[in-house]
Amino acid sequence: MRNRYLAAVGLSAVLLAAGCGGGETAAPASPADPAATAAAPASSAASVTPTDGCADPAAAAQPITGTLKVGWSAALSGPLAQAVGAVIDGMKSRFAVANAAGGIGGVKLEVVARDDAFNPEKAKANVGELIQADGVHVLSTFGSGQLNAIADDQNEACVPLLFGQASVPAYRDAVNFPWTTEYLPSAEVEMAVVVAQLKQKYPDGVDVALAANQTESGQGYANGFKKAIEGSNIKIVKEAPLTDPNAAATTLKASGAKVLVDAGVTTDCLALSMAVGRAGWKPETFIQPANCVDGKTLYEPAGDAADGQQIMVWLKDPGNPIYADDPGVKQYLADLEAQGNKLPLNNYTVNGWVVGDLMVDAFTKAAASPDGLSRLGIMNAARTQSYHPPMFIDGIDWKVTPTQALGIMAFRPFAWSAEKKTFEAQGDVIDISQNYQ
Amino acid sequence: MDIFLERLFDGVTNGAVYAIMALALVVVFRSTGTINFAQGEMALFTTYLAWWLTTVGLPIWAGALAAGATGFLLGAVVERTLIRPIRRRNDMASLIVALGLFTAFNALAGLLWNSETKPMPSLFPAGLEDFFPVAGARLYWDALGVWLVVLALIAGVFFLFNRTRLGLQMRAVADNAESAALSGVPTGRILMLGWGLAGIVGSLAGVLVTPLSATQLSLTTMFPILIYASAAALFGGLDSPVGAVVGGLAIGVLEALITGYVEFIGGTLPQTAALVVIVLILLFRPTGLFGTRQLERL
Amino acid sequence: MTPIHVRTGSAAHRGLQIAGLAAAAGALLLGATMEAFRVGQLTNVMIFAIAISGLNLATGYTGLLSIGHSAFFGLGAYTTGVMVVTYGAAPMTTIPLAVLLCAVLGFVVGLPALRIRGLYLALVTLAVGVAFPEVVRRFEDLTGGAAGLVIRSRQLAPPEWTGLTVPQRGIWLYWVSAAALLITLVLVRNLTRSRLGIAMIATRDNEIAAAASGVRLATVKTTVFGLSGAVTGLAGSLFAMYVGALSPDGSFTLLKSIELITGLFLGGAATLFGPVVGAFAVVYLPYFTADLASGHVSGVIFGAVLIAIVFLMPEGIAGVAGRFLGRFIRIAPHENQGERP
Repeated sequence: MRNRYLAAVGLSAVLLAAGCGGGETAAPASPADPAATAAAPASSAASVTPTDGCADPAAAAQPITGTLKVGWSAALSGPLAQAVGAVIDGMKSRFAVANAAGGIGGVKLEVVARDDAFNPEKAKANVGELIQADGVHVLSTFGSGQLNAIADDQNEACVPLLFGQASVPAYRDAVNFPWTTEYLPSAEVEMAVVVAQLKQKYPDGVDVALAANQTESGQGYANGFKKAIEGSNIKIVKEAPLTDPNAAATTLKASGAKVLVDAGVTTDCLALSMAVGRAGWKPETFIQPANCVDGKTLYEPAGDAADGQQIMVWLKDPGNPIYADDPGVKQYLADLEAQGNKLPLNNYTVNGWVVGDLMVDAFTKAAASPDGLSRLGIMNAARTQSYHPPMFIDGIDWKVTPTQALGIMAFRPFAWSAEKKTFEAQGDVIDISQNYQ
Repeated sequence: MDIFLERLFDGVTNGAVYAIMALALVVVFRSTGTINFAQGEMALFTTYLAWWLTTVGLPIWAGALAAGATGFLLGAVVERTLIRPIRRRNDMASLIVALGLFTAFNALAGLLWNSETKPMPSLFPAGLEDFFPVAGARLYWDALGVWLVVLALIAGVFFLFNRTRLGLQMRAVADNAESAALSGVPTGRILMLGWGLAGIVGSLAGVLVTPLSATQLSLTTMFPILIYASAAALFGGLDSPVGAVVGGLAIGVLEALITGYVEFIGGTLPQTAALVVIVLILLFRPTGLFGTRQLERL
Repeated sequence: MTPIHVRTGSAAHRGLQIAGLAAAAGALLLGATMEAFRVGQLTNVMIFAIAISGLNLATGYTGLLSIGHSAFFGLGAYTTGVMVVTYGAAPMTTIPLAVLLCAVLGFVVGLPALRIRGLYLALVTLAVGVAFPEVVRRFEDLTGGAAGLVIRSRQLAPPEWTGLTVPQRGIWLYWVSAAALLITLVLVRNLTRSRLGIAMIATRDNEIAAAASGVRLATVKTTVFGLSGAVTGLAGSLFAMYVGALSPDGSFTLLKSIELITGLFLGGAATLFGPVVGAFAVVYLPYFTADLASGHVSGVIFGAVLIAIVFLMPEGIAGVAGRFLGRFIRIAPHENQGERP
């Protein structure tokens, strides 16, 4: 029973990858201290964001006092509500820690969330209301459809939309969308890292079977993969759509390829695992997309069929025993418990926490910059942000410059162990950020 | 050959689930003359209940029994309190009530058990090795289990409607409630029973399909099943249980084969293709393949 | 108290009509002065009202249940989207084409209605509604596929003669939608009072009797579906201009059809203003239920409200309002006219 119908609705937004990581903070309760984060001299946050297109340029440059509001348009109802709620709660917990430490130079952080039921037209209405009635200073949202509906409006209003939970290539363009950035890794970058690892594992080349979801995210992965193997001795011998995972499994099994790449969304991972298992096929290497990181719901049910499946991870997983002694993870867990967060081990919570962390860093850098803690200052800081969130895997940084807005350009491969029911590292961090200056 | 067989088995298994849900819809229609658009979400609710029971230590078959019992109760109560009072008005009123129940049950399930996807244990052995080979293809026990359940159900429903007194009473009430009441049939109880039975059948469909579904147990699992089941019921004729099963199997098999073999349509237009075929059939047999033609007096 | 009787064509009737128009104009002007996001919400309401009016023609007045009207809505939206993005057309000029294409699709959908009836016909409309997103995804070179089609704001600039700039496109669309809604309501009103309108209602009440009385069912059904589709397509076209981001699985699925049906029955099927009331309900009810409680509880409340409406107000809000007003004032035909249906 392949749930194509509403699955496509809910899943074309790549929600979260998670991988959790531990975080290290130099001193407890001082994440808002600029000295603890990667040093960013005030002069480097030059004004890279134009304000001449703004409806009200002066308002964009006005310093924010009292409370800084971050507004979300997100699916607070419906099938994605749980995941979305966990992300927003993670962010609220992070903000609470920052507020307890005095906020950003005394300015407190607040989150305002409005429900869009994963509907683009509701997202558009929400953002209008958030900006005009709620007076938010920064926005974020879930899903490419929603982002499409609000990008023009928020750019016109010169309200920064930071770390949008989507991965649409069009919005990595700082020239046309100066006030928009996205958090999720680019499909192209992820696939480039996957291919880099395949090249290490199969120096003499290998045949690949590709299962591609027919939605935008799936096609993004498929195209990213094809681009990354250009000119190499890795070849795609068969491609099949994921509309019916069973049909895909039988078709791809017949190709005899050694490597299976799942260019899909969260619901495809388990379905394809089970279908491949039941077809009696055990490919030597089975690559899952990075957003399929929830071991309990997506890998455990497949039993032995999921053994050895590989994903690219950038966050530390607080539930994974390898991070038991990681100072960052320990601090994270302590902070969450202090805040009373109910789902500290949930991947989505970690994601929300990290997004909150990135925002706090951007706000702090803005406050130290010539433009101050204003929307313009925040946007400039976000455009030139280089930061290692403590819950990112060591060796993976968040890097954005005025010429590239990819953010995450490094991953560490992990593989699922069906016996231990957990993910195990499969090598070192693969960093390809040098390709994207 | 083995790939063809595997696709066929998949299609039949999918189709069997559609058939079970379609049977529930037909039972409702034959006993009360309306379609219960909320059947899928009521089944989802009872499936969540079954799942929850397994998390507190009960085996899945106990959960399934509980789901069936709850399904019966829900169906009967809904019929008595929400459907019967407004039935006489028009079709649309029942439809809107069903839409309201659809939304409410889905949200209620999400409220009580949150919207995270939950892995669902299967009633049958479902390990990777639990199959027997058929000409090179694998026929898994849980798929076979679903087929057997469908066969048992259709036999049961047929027997009920055509060989038991209760079935006779149900048909009488559906045909002409007033005459039936005059003949001493307790129409109220019969109506409740009809919806209750449909509730059991629907719950069964839910518990069977969820372990096999790509999304396991989640808030979106039952909606496409309902769509296909409605198509199957209508295709086979709303008052024909046999038609519902044939319809369900046909849709399941058609979908699997078209997706697998017709590449132009295959990956991207599975539902369209299946529904187009149905529309074409309806053009030639306007009340479904096995439905009875309606005679109307002016 | 006995209601006041007003004859059509009399001075009192004219006075009432003018007062009504003035009230509507006043409401529109008031709406236009609100903050930009409210103007957007009201525009969305008007677009929905047009869409539901289209559905009203087929389902409300003619009794042909359609659960696939999301396809007409989507076809209108995508026609405008593709014309603007791929062919650089000015948005307003795309409306006639969108309406025409939807009329044709409506006519085609109406053809099976000649042989198939009732819930079986609903299945045909279901097929259309389900097929639409799949077809859009299939022909991605034209439609952008699953990624969707984005109309950038500069492409939605108001025409030069208005003197409005791109950031003011919201208010421009507000007035265009208001005009379109007005035209739609006038059209529906005249249609339902025409011979075709009587034929439609006769078909709904008893198809066989209607046929026996000389109503040409084939013409009525196909024409009605064509008109119904065309009106909902008009709404779709305006919707594309409103939201600018079209996605087959985001806005044009069966769930949209369910929203339209809900709006129709909440507002009052087979009434003139029912669709307008229903549109308000469908757009604003989620806000109320979300305010009362977040997340899933709002879904439960929404479902409960729907059921309550069926029990307490089955003719829809407009129907109830009509009966209430009928206690004070009744409009009766002039002595020389025939009976109104």
